[in-house]
Amino acid sequence: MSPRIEITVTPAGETSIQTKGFAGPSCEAASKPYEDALGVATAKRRTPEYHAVAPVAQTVEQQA
Amino acid sequence: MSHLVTVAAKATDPAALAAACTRLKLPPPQTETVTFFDRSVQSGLAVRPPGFVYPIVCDVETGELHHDVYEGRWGDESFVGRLLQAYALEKARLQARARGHRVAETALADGSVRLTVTAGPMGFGGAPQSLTTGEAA
Repeated sequence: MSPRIEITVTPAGETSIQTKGFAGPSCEAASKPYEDALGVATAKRRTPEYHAVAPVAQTVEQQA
Repeated sequence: MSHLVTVAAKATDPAALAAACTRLKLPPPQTETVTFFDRSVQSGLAVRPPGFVYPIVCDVETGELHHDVYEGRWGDESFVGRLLQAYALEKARLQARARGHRVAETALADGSVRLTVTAGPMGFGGAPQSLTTGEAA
């Protein structure tokens, strides 16, 4: 999944910002400018995806 | 990896408020000082939705929207929420534009609107570009 930020606003003006597909805590840096621009953050939670182990690139060394 | 943030929207940007009025097909907000029925006085950007006795006054210093609809008799209370919804959407669009991000908008069945923001050429870490008011519409 390519990284993206989903901003959902209800007809009452309630606003939520969710990040998806980011690697590590970069999701918080990506969404922070939107949080700051829109108003005041009232609640924040990390989804299970946040705590998932990031895939680690494995290097296979070939022996000559 | 992901997280979810709930934000209380504050209408502090006159350009985004003007864009919200355009979205809702309302006249642009005007700077006014309004005396409400209870004699309270509010200065700010006044938005006049159809059917409202008193305008909705936006204090851009605090981001608060002041109104008096007298239990719906002097205006549709739900419209205040719709104005805040339009403001938040336009403010987010302005932010995306300033950062070179792409935005796709989706209307949801319950009346909510979702903006899906993806990175532009500079990724999500690009420095913001300043926008003039005239670019907001």
